[in-house]
Amino acid sequence: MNERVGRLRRQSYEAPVTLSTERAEMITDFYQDNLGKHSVPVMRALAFEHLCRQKTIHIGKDELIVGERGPKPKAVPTYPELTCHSEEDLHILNNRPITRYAVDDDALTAYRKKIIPFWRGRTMRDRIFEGLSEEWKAVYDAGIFTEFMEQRAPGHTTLDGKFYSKGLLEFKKDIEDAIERLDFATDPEASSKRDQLRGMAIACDAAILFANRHADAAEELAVNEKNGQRKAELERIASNCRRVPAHAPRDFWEALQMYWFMHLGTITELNGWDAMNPGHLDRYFYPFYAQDLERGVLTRESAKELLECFWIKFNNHPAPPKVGVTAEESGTYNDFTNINLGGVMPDGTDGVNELSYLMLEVMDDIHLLQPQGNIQLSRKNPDRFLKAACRVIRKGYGYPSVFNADGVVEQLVRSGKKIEDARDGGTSGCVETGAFGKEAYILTGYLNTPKIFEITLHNGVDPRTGNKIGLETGEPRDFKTFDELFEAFRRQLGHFVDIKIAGNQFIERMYATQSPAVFLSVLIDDCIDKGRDYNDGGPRYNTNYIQCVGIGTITDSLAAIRKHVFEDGTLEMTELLDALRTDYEKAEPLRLLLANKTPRYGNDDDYADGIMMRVFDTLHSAIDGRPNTKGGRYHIDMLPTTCHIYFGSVLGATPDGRRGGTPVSEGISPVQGADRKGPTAVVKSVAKMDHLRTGGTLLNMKFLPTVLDNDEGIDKLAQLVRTYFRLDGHHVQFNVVDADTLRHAQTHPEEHRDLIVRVAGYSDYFCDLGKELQDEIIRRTEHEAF
Amino acid sequence: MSNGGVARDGELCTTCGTCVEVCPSGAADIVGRRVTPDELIDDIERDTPFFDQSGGGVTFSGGEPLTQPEFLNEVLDLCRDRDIHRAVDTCGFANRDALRTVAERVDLFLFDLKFIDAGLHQRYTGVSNDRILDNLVMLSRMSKAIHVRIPVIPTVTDINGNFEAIGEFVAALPRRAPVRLLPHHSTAMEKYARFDMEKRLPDGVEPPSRRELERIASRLREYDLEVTY
Repeated sequence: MNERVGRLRRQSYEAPVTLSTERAEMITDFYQDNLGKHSVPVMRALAFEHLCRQKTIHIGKDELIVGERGPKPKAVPTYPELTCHSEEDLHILNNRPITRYAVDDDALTAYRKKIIPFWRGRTMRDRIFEGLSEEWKAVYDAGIFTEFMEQRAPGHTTLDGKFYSKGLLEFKKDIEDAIERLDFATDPEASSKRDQLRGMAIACDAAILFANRHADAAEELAVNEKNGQRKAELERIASNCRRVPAHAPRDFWEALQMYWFMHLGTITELNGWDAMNPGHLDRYFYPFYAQDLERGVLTRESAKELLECFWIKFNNHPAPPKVGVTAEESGTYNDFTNINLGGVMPDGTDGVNELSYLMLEVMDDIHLLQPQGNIQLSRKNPDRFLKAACRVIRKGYGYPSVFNADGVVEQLVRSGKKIEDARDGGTSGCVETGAFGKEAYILTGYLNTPKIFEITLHNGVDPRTGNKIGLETGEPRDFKTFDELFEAFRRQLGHFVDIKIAGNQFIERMYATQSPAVFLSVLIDDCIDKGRDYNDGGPRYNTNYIQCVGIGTITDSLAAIRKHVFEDGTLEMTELLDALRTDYEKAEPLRLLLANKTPRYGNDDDYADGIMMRVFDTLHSAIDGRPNTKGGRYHIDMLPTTCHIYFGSVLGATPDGRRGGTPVSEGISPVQGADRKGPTAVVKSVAKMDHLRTGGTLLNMKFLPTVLDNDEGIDKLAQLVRTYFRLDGHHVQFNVVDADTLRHAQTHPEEHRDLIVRVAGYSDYFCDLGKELQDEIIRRTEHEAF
Repeated sequence: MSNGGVARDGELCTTCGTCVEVCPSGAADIVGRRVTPDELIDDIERDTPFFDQSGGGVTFSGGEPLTQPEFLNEVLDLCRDRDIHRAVDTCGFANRDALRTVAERVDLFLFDLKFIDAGLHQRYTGVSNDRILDNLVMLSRMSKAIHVRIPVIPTVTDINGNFEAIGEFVAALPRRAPVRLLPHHSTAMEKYARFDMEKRLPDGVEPPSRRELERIASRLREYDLEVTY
């Protein structure tokens, strides 16, 4: 990276994360003055306009792409109309040792005097909790599931390429035409459609106004700028901001600025999950890149500088601060913006171009927390592309993650998308599949499957609290066969899924009617044509996901019971339940036996893997295809983010030998340390799940950077990925292992049995090595740390 | 069971496996197990997607697979029936006729070559290398694909003249064979301890550096050989 990029990167990296009350105060002012004057969509649009008109404009020294959501980089706004932090929340945010948000006295005062008094009782969160059933709350408190929309708006959305050839003024024209076409005589919804469309038109103007304020500020800075080069840059920034987003971009630089304004608009209006995802940037930007190179106004180097300045902007925007359970399930500054590279074009041809490679270089150069990047790997993409990605992967940033582009298309087509829309789709956030620019695909919450099994083993009672929150599906000691036990689990699962979906339907209507996303709706097909909001079925496709967690833990638990209780008859169910109740306190040999003498998921063993498939099918039948309130359907995802830790904390000891309170398995990975047959066996096991019937699965693999220290290692990693995708695997990401983890593995080998390290010309399980060699590898790893 | 935990007298062990069965923590393990050719081919077939993707296959290694030529031949035939590529990793010290029957079923040999000097070979391995060198020539005459693998052990194989002699020998084989250098590593040190065996390698033998490997590789390339490490 050049010096300018180095400076910007350092600034972004070093800037402290602070909580800014600017947005909260402005929105409070606006609502105080205007409450009751307008329809809900127009109110939301005018509030957005108020923010665009009033908020501080920041143009940083050295910047080439401009615009911040907060008053300065990493100053994070809050959204009190959705979730109003209490004073206690603010103290926690300010004082906690990790993912801290600095809150100064002025901010506390503003909350105490102005923001809290107005919003308490009026926020979406307050109203949602008020409207949910007691049953829902009891189940939620037990940690059976989480709820995404209790403090952040529906999100996980990805924009497509439409606004690179069409400015907001043209969108506004479409909106006005749609209003014109409304037929009040025959369409009973015409009136609400008009409100929605009016709101969308106001939002277009607001975003243009926001850009023009940046143009004004840049012009003013240019006048006073002594340095000739910077002066010219500021003039160019001003001209970019006059051009976009009102009009379509004409060149590479304008295209980058265009996206950035769209990004800022969507994350200012609401705090949707996963910030905003830009989609296939390599494809969208490529025509501008090629044209500018051809004209001689851009070089590969100058394009890279612009891209790097653009990349750094994402890192200036940590996730809005969360509270309570949501902070535990997703305790990170990362707001999960995820950029897609590669894949296939809408016509099915290879989507990799020169920018795909350049963007991999940018990821490698910048490697900040945000944005994340991934490659969408199609069988049509060249191996050169995969290997270029592997060379970045081996640096150990955790990205790019790797997705099966052809599998993603199949998933989307299975759930009813047109093939062109499916190919133009991809993945966002963590791993979730969607049709970019045309779909609301909403994660609604994680489901704690091992917890549901625990409640099955206690005939409907949560052993942690003694509360009866489930069905009476029978005392486990009375079950004669494994099938009876499994059937009890299936019924228990159905019960909790019903409660979850009932709550979702209510919350969904709350967002549809109370918190429309009018600006985002402009950018998602077919909200304008339908005259409906993004949150109310306006998009072409409307999907809800429930994300199932702990497949490894529940599979191994079921396998242990099947084998030792029902097949071998060497263990009484009552003895097992007693051991679980006491957290194996006096039953360590039994715990070890269950953990070590049971076929376990992750070893390409059909006994255990068959149980995993049966659990998967049961989850799928309980959830997939159920209708939401927006004309769309539910599908399942298999990903945990960091929720496997929270879910483990509310779960007692499990029959797989897991102690109470410890994390459950993450993603679709085997239980930590249960896989002993190497990465190929893991790949075989996890691929027995039918990934094509999900909307995303998550597989983590760990390695030391030295495993990939030569071309042969890169080849092998590439072959491993290609094989996994041949078997319809959805996603894999590779985590680097650091020296601290290795030290932990020395003292807690049982948690790290699957850790593979490069020894000499070969790799081995770390825990199988002698102490001396382990120490040597730790020294080597520290040496390689970056 | 003593104060320090379970004590084990290796002398008395008959490898009956009872301790492995009953130990709940999995602390005891028998390395290796008895398998039939059918069981083994089931295991091998599990990796078919990886073979298909990478163009790879199965490598029979050891120990020394040629100590069980009949079993090996059976499994090699089962692999052939399934179109699985077969490699055999051998030290070359094998019965000539047995090797010939195996060779008819093998796609690739990984053939270790430590010394050309018979005395040195005798000194470090306990046997002469006559048969090994003859076997290598025979396989080459049979036009088998062979990777010649040379362990690089400082002060043992990396001594004056040894690699030159190997280079000359390999260059004179009837069919060209690429050479792979295998750098010495220290993993076995732990195994000696585990099996109560005395360490026999001279002190101070360290894994060779990349530079040393490159020096050896370029010396071997003077014999017009393809060398990698």
